[in-house]
Amino acid sequence: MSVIKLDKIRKSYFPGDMEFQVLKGLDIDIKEGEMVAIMGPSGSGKTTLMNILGLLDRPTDGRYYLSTREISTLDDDELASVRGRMIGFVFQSFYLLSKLNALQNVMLPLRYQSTPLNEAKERALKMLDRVGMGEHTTHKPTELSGGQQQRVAIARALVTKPSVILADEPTGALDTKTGKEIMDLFLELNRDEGKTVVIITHDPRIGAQCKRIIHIEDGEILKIEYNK
Amino acid sequence: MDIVQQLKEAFGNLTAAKLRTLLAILGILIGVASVVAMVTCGEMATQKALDQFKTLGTNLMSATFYSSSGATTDANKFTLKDAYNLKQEIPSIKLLAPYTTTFSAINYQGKKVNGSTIGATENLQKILHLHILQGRFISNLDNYEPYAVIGANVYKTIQKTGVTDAVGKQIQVGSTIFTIIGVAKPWPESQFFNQSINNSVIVPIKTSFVLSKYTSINNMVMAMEKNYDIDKATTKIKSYIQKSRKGAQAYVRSAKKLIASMESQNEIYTLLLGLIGGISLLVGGIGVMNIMLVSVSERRKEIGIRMAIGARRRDIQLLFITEAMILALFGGTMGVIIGIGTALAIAYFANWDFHIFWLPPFIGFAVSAATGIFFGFYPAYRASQLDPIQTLRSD
Ligand SMILES: Nc1ncnc2c1ncn2[C@@H]1O[C@H](COP(=O)(O)OP(=O)(O)OP(=O)(O)O)[C@@H](O)[C@H]1O
Ligand SMILES: [Mg+2]
Repeated sequence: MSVIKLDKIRKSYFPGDMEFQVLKGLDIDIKEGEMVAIMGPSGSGKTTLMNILGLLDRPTDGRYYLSTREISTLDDDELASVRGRMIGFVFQSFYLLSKLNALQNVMLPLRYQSTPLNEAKERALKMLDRVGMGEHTTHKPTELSGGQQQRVAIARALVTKPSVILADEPTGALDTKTGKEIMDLFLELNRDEGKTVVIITHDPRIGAQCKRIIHIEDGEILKIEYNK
Repeated sequence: MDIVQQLKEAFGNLTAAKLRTLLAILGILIGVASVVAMVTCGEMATQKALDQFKTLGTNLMSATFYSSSGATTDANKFTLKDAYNLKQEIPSIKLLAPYTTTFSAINYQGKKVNGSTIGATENLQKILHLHILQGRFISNLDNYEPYAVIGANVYKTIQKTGVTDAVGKQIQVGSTIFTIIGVAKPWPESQFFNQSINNSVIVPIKTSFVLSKYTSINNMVMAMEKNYDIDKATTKIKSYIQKSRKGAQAYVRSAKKLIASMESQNEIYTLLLGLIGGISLLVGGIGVMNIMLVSVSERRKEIGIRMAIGARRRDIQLLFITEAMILALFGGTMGVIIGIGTALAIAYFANWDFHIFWLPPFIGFAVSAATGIFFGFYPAYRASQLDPIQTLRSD
């Protein structure tokens, strides 16, 4: 079953009077439990694509079905709540809230879903434990290393039991060794728990670990590569 | 999102930017404090002005006589007989006390005493609620006796000569020697009674006529029956005077009317003070708005992150409104406390009785909350309308 299905998705910006096409009619189909890498040169539209996949942005044209639901009909509030429940974001520079500690950061998405406090806490603790951060629940982001922060961010993305994890260069800000650990975590989540993961990356070694690589250039799909 | 968490988080955000938070609170605090202090002081001043009637009661009227021709002659002179007749004529007058005033030099053992002389009947004591410290007050039986009751300040002057019991001592008014028969307790000054009792020597009214040939009854005070009609009584007194004495006029005042005009005057005064306070509150509110706007633009990234993990626009709005509300309510509470404290200090130095009036603090508090919502709303709305993509891309 498709979790994500894009039908001729276009995205244009209009700086001045000119139309500037960033995505030029993408057709992408991602099945449940898949692990997909999106690769392409800088400026090719990868982040733009991820924002659309994550419902942070709307396409200029085309259809986007998220778990068979067509999202263009949803208003901003519905979009926010679907995003909160079905999408888990992991960013290159972690994007944890600096005033909250690890536990509070992981609980935050659940609070926006009005999950009872006790349950939210329980789930967040379990998730922190799952990503290997069970010992650091009361640490503020500034008291954690980059790799640790990314683990907390992954816990935050996972805590709502989303349908898709969207990761935009999740290892981009980490050294090779830590980056590999984070990548192993994604692989594990995909293999053991059947999570659907979409990873944007510049790193061919990371791409090689995914079953499918979608190469994008200039807002178009250049080629699709299958591993193993 | 539950309220306790919401508040906790707002507190966390506010304490993270301490100086900014402090400044915002200060703005509201000063505004609310000035509203509360000014309005409370206005109310206290009113209370102070009205207090003088507490001892006298409100059923009080006074009349001042004058002749339209300017000169007081035997033909238009108001006499004791007139006073008696007037009382018979107008049943709503319960007690009536005509009095004379004379400004002759007063001496005690060759020492000059500042003051004037009042010629009075025994009713004056009852109407003005005069209390006697020593001896007794004037009685109608005193007729032409050279007896005198002295006011509190006159007594003080006499005390300086080493005398404590003034009764029986002699005091000179003009060229006449009077025997002191009583000492009055200090009497609260009142706008209603023209003469200062405390600085007076009170003698029997008939005796006062003998003091000087120019002495005449030019004033009277009246205690009225309950529920008397002010306007009716006023017209009646005026017309009686005009009818009975040729060319005589009366200027009539009533305590109730005086109170009413004083109250409305003070209301305007209080309103003006409140307005001034309100302006500073407005300035404080604008301060909150400014600081919230800065906070929103500084926290764009945070807003984007919250949106990315499922915050709806109204969640973002609530986040900032809550912070503005906390600022305003905290500033408001402190402002009420400091405002009351300021009013207390002013009352102390102005020698007013201190009262807590519940309305100004309540209004101050409510207005500060409204300020928080009003001035917090726009920044919060701005925050909620931010584009998550833009905020996430910004650094
Ligand atoms: N708001 C905008 N207005 C105009 N152009 C924009 C806007 N946002 C993005 N772009 C353009 O869209 C193009 C794609 O940007 P995007 O961030 O998706 O690239 P990317 O593939 O993620 O690059 P990188 O690998 O460097 O992260 C870029 O050329 C960028 O300048
Ligand atoms: Mg990018």
